[in-house]
Amino acid sequence: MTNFSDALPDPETTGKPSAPVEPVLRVSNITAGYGRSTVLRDVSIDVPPGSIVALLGPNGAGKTTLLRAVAGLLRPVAGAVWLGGAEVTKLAPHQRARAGLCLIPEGRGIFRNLTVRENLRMQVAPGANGTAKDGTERVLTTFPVLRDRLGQTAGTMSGGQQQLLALARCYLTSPRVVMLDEVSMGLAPKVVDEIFSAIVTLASSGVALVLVEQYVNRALELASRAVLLDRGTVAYAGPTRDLDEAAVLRGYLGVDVDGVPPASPAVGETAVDADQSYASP
Amino acid sequence: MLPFIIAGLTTGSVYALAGVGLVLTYKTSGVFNFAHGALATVSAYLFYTLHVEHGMPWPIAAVVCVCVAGPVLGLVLEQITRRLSNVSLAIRVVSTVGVLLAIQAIVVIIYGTTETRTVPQYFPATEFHIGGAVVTLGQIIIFAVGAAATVALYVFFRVARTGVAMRAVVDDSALLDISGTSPTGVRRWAWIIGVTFASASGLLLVPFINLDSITLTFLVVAAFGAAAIGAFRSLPLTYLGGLLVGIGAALCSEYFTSGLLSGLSASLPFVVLFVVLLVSPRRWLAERTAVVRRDRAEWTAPWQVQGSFGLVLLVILCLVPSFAGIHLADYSQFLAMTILFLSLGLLVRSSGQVSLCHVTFMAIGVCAFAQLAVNHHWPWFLALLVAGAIAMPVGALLAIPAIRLSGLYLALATFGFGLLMQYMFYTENFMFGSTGLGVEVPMPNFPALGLDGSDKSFYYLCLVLTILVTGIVIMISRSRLGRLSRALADSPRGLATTGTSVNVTRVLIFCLSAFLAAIAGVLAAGAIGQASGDSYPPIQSLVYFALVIITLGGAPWYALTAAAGLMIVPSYLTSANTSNWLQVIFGLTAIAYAMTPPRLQGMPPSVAHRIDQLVRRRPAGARRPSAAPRPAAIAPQTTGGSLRARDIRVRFGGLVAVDGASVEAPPGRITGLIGPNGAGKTTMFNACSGLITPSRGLITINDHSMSRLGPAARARRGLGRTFQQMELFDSLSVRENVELGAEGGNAGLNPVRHLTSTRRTRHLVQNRASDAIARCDLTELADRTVGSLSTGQRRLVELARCLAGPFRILLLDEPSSGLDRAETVRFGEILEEAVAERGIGILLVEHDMALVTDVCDYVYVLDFGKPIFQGSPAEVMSSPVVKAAYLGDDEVERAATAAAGPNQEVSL
Repeated sequence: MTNFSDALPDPETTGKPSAPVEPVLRVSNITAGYGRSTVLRDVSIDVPPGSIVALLGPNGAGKTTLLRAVAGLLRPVAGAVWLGGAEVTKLAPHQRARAGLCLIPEGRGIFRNLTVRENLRMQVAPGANGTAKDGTERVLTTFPVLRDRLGQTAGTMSGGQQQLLALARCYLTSPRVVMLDEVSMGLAPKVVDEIFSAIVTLASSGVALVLVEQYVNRALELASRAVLLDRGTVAYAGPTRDLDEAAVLRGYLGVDVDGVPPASPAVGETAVDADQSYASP
Repeated sequence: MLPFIIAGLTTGSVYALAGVGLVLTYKTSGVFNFAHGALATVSAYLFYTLHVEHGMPWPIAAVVCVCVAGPVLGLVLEQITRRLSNVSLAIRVVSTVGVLLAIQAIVVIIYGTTETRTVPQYFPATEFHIGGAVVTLGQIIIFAVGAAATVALYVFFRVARTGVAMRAVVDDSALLDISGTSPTGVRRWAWIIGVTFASASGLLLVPFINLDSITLTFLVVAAFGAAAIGAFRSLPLTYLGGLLVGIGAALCSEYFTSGLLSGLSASLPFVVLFVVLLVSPRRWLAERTAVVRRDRAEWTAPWQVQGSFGLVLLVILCLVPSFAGIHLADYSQFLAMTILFLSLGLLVRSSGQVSLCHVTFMAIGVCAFAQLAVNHHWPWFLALLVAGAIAMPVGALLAIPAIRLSGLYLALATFGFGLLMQYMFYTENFMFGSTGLGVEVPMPNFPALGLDGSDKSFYYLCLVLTILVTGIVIMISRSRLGRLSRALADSPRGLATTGTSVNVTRVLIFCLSAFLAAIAGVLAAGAIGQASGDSYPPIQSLVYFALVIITLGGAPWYALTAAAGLMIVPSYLTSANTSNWLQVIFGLTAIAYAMTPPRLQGMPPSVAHRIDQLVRRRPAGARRPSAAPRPAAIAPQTTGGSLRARDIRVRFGGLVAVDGASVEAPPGRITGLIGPNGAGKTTMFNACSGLITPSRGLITINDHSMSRLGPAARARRGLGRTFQQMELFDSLSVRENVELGAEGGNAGLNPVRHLTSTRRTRHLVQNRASDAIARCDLTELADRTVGSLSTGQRRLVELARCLAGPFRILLLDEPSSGLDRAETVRFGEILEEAVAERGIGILLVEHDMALVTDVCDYVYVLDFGKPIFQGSPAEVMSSPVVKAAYLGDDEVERAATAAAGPNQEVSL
């Protein structure tokens, strides 16, 4: 298996004394949900510029909800979102997109009834046409399979091709932060490889990435930081190398790797203490 | 024939233009603009005022109408409809209906109805000779405008950025938002263009017709007909549809000049609309916007307050003949209209179905009654009842679009039906006849009962009948049918899984409503003694609908308020324009109501609280459980059933979601179905429960094939189900939800059992509900409204609903989603107890592995739609194949390739 993270300099180990760096994306104390159910409770995350953050957690933990709240599709009950030092909590999604925030949603974020060319056209905000041409060239060079299909209706392409089209937006708009929500879902492993190499190319251009992946190993290979969500709260936030894979599995499957279920929480026992039980010994 | 075709092409182009604008606004905003024709009316009257009254040259007047008034009105409508994405269908409909009512009434107020106005043809009168027929320049210009506008729009959608953005906003507006383009801005342009098209169509049509407020307003129905042919989706087909409707109507006026079919020409658009709605394949007309549920029980005043208020009102009503004088007939009509609003409320407020033709049911009742009582000399009361009965099959016929399609199409079908009746049938001899005198509606004459044909005795008869109908409606709302009706409004899918045939429920309620409306019609006409077709214009149905939505209170208060506003106010304020001003007020109130966010609607909480305090009633969420003895908890006597799904294959277009999976869930055991996201678990589930038809494979319960049965039928054969996005009846209490689990199957397909149940059945239902509630630890919450509970509690309510019913096998779809660790553990315990005590079988789709290892006896694992492993939970958890599937290692590729076979490529 290709070790993608070798391709990237690890910001944590470059050895320079770290001056306090303004995170390119900061989420502070977000509480959000749908209707009456609260999904996220007091979630805070920092994304340093140029880094890759893996956002992990079992289903129902709130990963997609968090990305939607950051993108502006969901209004949080409490909390704030900061992009590049400016607060964007009150901005509409299209305004956040123009400020440099790019969300690739789960489930093939493309317009199925439009052609590939029209999809590429819609992926850029209006008035940005000056940079569009170079961006389109870059996209078609990175994903040559799209070049032959410019006139094809997007919904008739295969799942992998659709996902590549969805990713094209990151190349067209020169964002500062890209959030990827399960981009490998439902795709065959060979296609997943291609997508991940595109992600690495993206990261090498200095864009910060937030990666939600069900395939934990892949995400951890790529990322320098990991955030583990458990039922709406942050259970771990720190460098990937301090994360213990067995413990992550336990969080996902609720069982130890050898099949022994964990002890049921005793009455009155509080939630898992962050930074402790997920760190390797 | 050629002249008629040419004329047809001309009017058809106008219909097409209007239809294209209508489809554009509907597709982009999800709101169907009932006021589309009213906007054309505004344009036409504006043109008349500028060009004919003030002498402005016609090109300038035309530019003002189309390029100024059109866009301005478009912006107004965009503002009104902007916040309607999360409201119920009835409110979405009432928003544009309100615009229609307000515009139509304002036009009448300003211009009156006595003077006949016409706009002379403003295009140059040059004539051409084509194939022996005369074609004027005007006709050619109209055809050219229609064609050019449609072509321009088609090109616009493909070339201009905003045009492509409009198609994108229809496809996925959230994605457009995060891509940097504001969907609101795009929709604004769509409304501007759509309404401008409507203005243009009004302008083009006006030289051919007499200028009045109604004709152009109902141009919208011709546009509907065109839009229906275009399946409300395709612009080129809509254009073609408009031309076809125009030509068809012209040919009908050539060939059908007398008899019943002479009205066909004017009513062809409605006929087309109706026929298309009845016969089109369901998937063509799938409504894009999702069903929105009510999540809060409406506040109702305490019974002491309602009772005392009612008593006072009753005394006043009994004394009316002593002070009414010449207004007595109006008071009788007020009572009749109360019955009408009660019938409409039964349909719209209780079961959430939108009907826009209630005045037509009144007309049908009156004509049937007149035929029976006057022409055939039947006794008065018998004629009354039979007249009501005659309206029922009509109601059933109209309910068919509701069964096949969704609520909006029922609204359209009923709207078109009302117009169809007016144009084609009102002048028939079996209805009002063509003399214009109408029919005679006598009062009853039974001196023995005190009915001597006087206004006073008739008034008291109306009062008695109103009280009777109020009693019936209240009884229905407390009966099984009332429960089924509220459940239907909250969640038709949830109701189907209890075993009720939802179609029977819908049709039954529609028939009851039609019956009562017909009786109300007879009483209202009887107060005056005669009725003609002019008394039942279809626009009145829209007024009734708006009133029923905007009036506050439960039955019968909203009906009394609405009837008073409609009948009593104009009776005392007798200026010529009173009813028009009232209509303006109703229309504007309806618009304002639609724009209010849901949490601000209804009685303000401070007022409600104060009234509650008057009688010391606790707030709805925290009422102490009633002191009545709790019914004994008795579990249903069921033996377990086994579910077997063999070799299931499900395709969605080119995608194979499930490929050859087989699952068996035996009785007395809990079986698990797991797999990563996108593995096909929920698809498999939906195939088992009947929501999807697999392209291959067999599903059996106890070895009986379920292949052709829908969800309700499978429920009746013992299959219970919960949903990942819970399908609960949020405005009902916990107990009512759970009881429906037991009741639904009993109601089933049988209309009589929909209405009522025996005392014994009711006891049985209550006992089973108590048992299920106790099992699921919900006893404390049994009287709380489900909408106010937490996710964990709601999941338990859905489970309790399954346990209360006679289900032998349960399908549970991610039931622990949203539950915390402790709740999940308790959930598992409840499942195990239920299985151990009753021997039912359970098939569980889950992501929570702790729950799966805890309770499942056997587990199937899917990945990419294919089965990759099965075994005991311990085996599954330690299998490297399963681990790889979840962690995404090379194992997956090996396992997938192995499953696919040596020669098959794993394609991109």
